[in-house]
Amino acid sequence: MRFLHRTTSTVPEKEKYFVAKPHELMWWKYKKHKLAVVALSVIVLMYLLAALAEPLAPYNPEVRHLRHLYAPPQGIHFWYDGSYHLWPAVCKLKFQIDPETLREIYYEDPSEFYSVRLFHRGERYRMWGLFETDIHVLGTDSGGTIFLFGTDGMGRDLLSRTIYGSRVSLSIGFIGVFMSFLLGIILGGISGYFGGVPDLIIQRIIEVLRSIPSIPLWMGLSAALPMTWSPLKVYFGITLILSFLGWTGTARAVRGKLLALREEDFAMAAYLAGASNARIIRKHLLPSFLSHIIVSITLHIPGMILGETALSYLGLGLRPPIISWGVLLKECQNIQDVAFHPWLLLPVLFLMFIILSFNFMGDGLRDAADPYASRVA
Amino acid sequence: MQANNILLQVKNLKKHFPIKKGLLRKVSGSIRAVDDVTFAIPKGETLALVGESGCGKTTTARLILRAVRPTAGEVVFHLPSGDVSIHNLPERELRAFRKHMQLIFQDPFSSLNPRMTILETIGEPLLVNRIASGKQLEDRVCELMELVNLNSKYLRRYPHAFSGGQRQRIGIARALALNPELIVADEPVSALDVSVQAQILNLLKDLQQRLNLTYLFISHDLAVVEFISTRVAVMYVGQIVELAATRNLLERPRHPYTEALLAAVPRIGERGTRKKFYLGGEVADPANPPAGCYFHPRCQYAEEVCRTQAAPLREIQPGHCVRCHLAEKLTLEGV
Amino acid sequence: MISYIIRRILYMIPTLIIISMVTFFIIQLPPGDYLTTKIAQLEAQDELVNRDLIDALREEYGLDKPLYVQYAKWMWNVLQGDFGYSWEWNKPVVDVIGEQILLTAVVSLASLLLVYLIAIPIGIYSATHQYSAGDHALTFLGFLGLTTPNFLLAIVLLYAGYAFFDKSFIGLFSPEFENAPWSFAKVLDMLTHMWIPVIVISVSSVAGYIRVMRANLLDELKKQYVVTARAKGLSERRLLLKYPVRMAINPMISGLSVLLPHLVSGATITAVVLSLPTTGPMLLGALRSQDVYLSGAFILLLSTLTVISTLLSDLLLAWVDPRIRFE
Repeated sequence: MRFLHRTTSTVPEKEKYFVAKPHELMWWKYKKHKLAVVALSVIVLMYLLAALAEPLAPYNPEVRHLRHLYAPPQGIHFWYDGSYHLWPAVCKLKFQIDPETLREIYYEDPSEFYSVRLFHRGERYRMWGLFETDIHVLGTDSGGTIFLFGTDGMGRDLLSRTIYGSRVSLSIGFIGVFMSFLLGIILGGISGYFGGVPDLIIQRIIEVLRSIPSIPLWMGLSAALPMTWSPLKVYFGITLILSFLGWTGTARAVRGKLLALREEDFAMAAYLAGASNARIIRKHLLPSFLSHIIVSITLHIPGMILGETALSYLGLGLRPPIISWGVLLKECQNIQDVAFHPWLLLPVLFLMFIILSFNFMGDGLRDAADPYASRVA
Repeated sequence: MQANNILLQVKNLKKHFPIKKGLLRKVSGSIRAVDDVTFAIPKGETLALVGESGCGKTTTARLILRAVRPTAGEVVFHLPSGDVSIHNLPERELRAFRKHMQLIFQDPFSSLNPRMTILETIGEPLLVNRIASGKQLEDRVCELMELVNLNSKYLRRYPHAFSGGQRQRIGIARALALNPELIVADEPVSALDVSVQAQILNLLKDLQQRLNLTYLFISHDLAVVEFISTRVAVMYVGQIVELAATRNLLERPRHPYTEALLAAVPRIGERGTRKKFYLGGEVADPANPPAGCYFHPRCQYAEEVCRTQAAPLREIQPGHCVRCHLAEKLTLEGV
Repeated sequence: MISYIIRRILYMIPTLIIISMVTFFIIQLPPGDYLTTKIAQLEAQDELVNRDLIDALREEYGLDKPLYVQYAKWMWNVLQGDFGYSWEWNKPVVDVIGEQILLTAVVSLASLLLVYLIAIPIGIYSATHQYSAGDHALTFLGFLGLTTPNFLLAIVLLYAGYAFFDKSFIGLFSPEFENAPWSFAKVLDMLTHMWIPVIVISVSSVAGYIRVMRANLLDELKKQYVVTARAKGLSERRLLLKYPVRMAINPMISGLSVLLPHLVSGATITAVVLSLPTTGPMLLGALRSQDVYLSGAFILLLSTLTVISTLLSDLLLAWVDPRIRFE
């Protein structure tokens, strides 16, 4: 009797479905949500943007263009020099002093234009601190400017600063959530699997932490960060603070799932076969709720990003020279500034974009997380 | 019943769950899930445990498998290597002992881990007990699959590829992996279609013969019980009210509750020839059972003694035990 | 039921105690104390600092005692209603924050009401008219609301008001009522000014809850008891309100314990943007200058507010859902 190890089936698709591993099933289910797939691509793109900030940004973030303070956003024109062109160009930015307010009024001079350049040699920078180069994906000839988001009070290109800022804002969200994840799994796992006294203590701690409103708590903790710390230390401090509250949600989810899963028949079957506790947790319980945990974590990232933005906006979070969206928005604290230079708010677009994407992705993930849910007889 | 051929002996098993009430969660009483259960199963035979939902069948099964600790009583395994009282085993020896007794679950959809292939599922007992691994494991799993009439080419499939009946067979294969002497089957066919039921029951019977297995078969379906068991124990509110050979119990029950259960089984073509009656009242509350005989409020034959004195389980004929004061007097109708 | 209530109230007590300890710990975290900051400030301004005076003040305020003693003294006073003294403002804390906390509570509770009042009907509409144009439009608006952080919305609104309507949305009162004693007119004034902050604070929560309500209700509508009720001839509206809505509302009520801290948080930061006389700006200042009693009182009171809200939400849930009562 030969044991056939090759699977044969008249319908190959069916067979693929039968031997589909859990993560394959999840991916197929996720793909059904077109919007979620788009959102996923957007998120991946934005993280790529953050990683490749140096060449993607038209300018270096700290360079001050002293002749263009508070310049408004420039438009990309296809109509110039009297006709349509296929290749875009930007117009020369000039300014006049308004005799009444003594402020600069910028205007674009359509007679002078500069072609938009791709892979242009611009300001020098160090790529990831490793090697020096000066290639920027977007740029324009010297003499011209391409401030697509305008500039701030010190003449720094806002678009570039926003791109660099995404590096910090997005990574804080990610790292912070990762730390909550660890804390949440460990504490929630202890709580759910062992029950009894440890469960009670951990539950009370969670209750306490959830009762303290997050912003005042974060404010309190950030105020504790000494002014003398280096920006990097502050960065990690803020991340720690943000995850300080975040783990409670994960822990509760883990605990709930564990309590339910403990009673599952297949866990009992493994127990009766003589499996150790460790194996039962690892092989039977963990995979079942891992997907749920990942979903709940993904939903936390926007909260973290917003938290950092809020704290930095209040001046309690990150500080210059670190660039994050919150730090950029701090310039908008003064309503006068915003009134005269509304483009300072543009980083909000990036923020909204990423949060929207995370929300859509979360929706898709929620559905896909348990591909076996509909299988109940 | 040959006394020296007994595999499993259950003596005066009790499991009471405390009820906590009030502000300080004081124990105000207990739920008597299993209340003084005694029986023995000879090797190679099948004892069916019958009763309504909530009568304590599943708890008894868990006590035997030592998934739960009893409040009193003992469970003894008679093996060639010696007698083992399961609840006195220390932890380390318990894990090694588990291979002598296995469980078949009721719900085929929750008893298999959806994230494990059936190779992994059936192979797990072998893996954790370090009996086999790698190629050897695969071969053994294929053997087991052939044993339960599953095509071994389905090794790498996941449970979602299988129907209820097939999943149950996977569960049986898993239970057989360690070559246990005793298999506890907790309503293994209740969740299946009738046609599939027949297949599985035939399989179980076949396996029993081939592998000399002993079954504790829990069910609420008397037709199934009739087919597969040698002896039957009827449970009511945590107590065994009747214990007898299958044929005897079905043809001539000695306890009014058994009679009521049998009367509820529909038979085709017997209109008007049988005593028809409906059992009134509610099942007694295991947290607060009636005084005297637990069944007396619903019993049509109840007399004064039934209301006041609890009835012991007595052997009124060789191999036939009843828990009823009036067992000798009553003539009850079977099927 | 009564024992359930009593048990919940008793549970609150250790929670509050731990919160007070955590609060005290947090506000003590920054190195140094109020006097240290004050000295630094004075020295920065080149003013002479009398060390003896400082030492005497330190002793008087009990700043030289170990932490747990300070904590004990503080809690003892708090329980008697004395929240200590604000050094920054030179007044007892109660005078400084009394009105602020009250206003924070009012604004937060108003936001809470708004969330429920708007989210529930819209959620119901969305679920019952699934995939219609209205549903899509509302979903889209909902997403927009979700993604705009409240303080940014506040900034945008401020700007819009300034640029397009020539109106300033700052503050909770018109200038004439700012420091006036409470009167009916003042309350009216507050109400007219309050709606901007309340909307801003509640927008993202409203959006979230619309989606939750919609999803829950859609789940409930698929269930068999709805089909049965329809088959029995119950009018659609009665049937809707009486059965699935009651079930779908459950998670929203239990969500109250999370919602209120969230709203209070949002209120805090919105207050900074809009310069409201509620918690935010003053807390910020207190934290910066280490005005310990002031910031401590803020955080403690805010947390107590949310603990009470959790209790209320549990009680409300027990009242609405009989299953909880028999736990």
